[in-house]
Amino acid sequence: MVNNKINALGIAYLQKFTQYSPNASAIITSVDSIYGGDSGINYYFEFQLNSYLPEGGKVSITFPSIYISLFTVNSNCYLRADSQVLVGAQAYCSIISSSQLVIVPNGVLLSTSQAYYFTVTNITNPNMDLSSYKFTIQTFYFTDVYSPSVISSSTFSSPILSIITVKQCQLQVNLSIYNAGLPAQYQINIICPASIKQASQLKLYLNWNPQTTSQVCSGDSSILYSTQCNILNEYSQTTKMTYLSIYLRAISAQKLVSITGSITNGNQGTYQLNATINYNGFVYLNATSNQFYISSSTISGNTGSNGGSSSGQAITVKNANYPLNRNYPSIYTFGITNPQVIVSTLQILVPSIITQS
Amino acid sequence: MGSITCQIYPSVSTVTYPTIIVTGYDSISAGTTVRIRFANLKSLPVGITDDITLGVSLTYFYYGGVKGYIYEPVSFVVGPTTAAINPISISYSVSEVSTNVVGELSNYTLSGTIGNSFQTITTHDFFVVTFPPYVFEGRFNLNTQALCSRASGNVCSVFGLASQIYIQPSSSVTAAAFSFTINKLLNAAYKL
Repeated sequence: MVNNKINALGIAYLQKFTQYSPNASAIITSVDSIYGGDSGINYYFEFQLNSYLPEGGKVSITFPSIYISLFTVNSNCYLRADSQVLVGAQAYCSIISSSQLVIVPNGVLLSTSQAYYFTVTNITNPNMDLSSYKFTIQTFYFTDVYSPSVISSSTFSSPILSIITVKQCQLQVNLSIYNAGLPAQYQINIICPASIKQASQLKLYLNWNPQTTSQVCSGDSSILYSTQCNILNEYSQTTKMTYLSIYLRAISAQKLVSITGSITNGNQGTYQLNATINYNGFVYLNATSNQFYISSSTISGNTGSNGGSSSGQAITVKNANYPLNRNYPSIYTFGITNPQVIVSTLQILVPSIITQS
Repeated sequence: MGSITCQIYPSVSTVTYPTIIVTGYDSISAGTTVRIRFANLKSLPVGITDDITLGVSLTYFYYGGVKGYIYEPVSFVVGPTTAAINPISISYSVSEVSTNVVGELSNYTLSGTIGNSFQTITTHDFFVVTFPPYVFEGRFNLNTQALCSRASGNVCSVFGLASQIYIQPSSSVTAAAFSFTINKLLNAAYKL
């Protein structure tokens, strides 16, 4: 600038530019459970800034992607009481995304040489070696988490977890009826080498899509967490998987678990069912059942409105009731003619309009 | 020994004037020349003459609703401005010697040549280095330690919000080729 005027002007490019520092540091001081797959776990953190953070800035902690979303598991985050006293009431910790939380000084100038502590609740431990997964601490110049104003960034180690292997149970499935398409009582007998946790979910995978179920299972009250047992669907990639869902109580290892539920049989064929037991979605037991065969020889005999008869595929069912008066107790007599197969189980479906007297 | 604060109050009508209030300075001995520089104020339109009023008042005390002036405002004329000139070109490069990490100090060397029609840069003129926005965001006062090699006493006039450094050469610059350093300049407050 010559004689108060811009006289000459040029532009040059800076080869390097300001990078964030590695000053901020953090560690996980302890976790409530070191077992993989455990849920509802508290993680305890410690961090120290080691460099200036403006009062309007913030500290961010990012979990490795392997962790289940902090929103899904309903995690919460709070400053430990003594740290809260140090920073004052207005500073807070908050979970802002599925894998990220922020500590907002909210007008407080945090000490650069003071360790602060905070706790994150309800975390589900991944069931794997986490040595290659790192947590990240970052400090931001602005409160706005989305502005790229990183002052400092560094990573710290995940906790060392004890990996839980999935153990095999023995599973025996017995059916009351082995005819295709008919409702049958499924007796599920399972013995596991490890104890079952309270409120675990047993999933018995059905590789067909049953049309009916009573939605109630029976079993010892020391076994069933709820008598409710639903047929549900889940998707593995695009494959739809149907399963019977049963919730179990805490059961010691090697104890026979026997549950009966009503399921409509699938089509003719050989079946072998898979089952898993999970706690909060973490599978820790599984089993494969005995094989059983569903035959195609479903014999249907349709009755007429009053004593009529019609033929099924292989046999003819005849029936007659007496007397024929409306809404009157009546005796029904059924007869099978021309049986071409050996009848082992006879199931008569009675229309709901006929009630037991 | 704190940092000086300048607050700008824009004009809100034709009878109120935009005002800059400067606070936070140390006591000033009588007979001292004080220079306060403001960066990035827009200059007047071409051909216009106006006046600026400067006074010193007590900021926190009012006497009967009247602001208590220690020194009554005095006016001085600014302008007229003249038409803009087309600056001649400078080709130069910057070498950075530092780790370029937030919160650390960097050293810069600026070397280049001023193009044709070079005019002598006197001790009343300036080298002005404009950095990208937000480089001096934050703790401006820490940049008082910066050293500019051309200036007398190595004084760098760092304008934090304007991201500019004014360097007044200690002696006239008569050669088109130049090289000077800016040392101990605080890096940006965050990754840019």
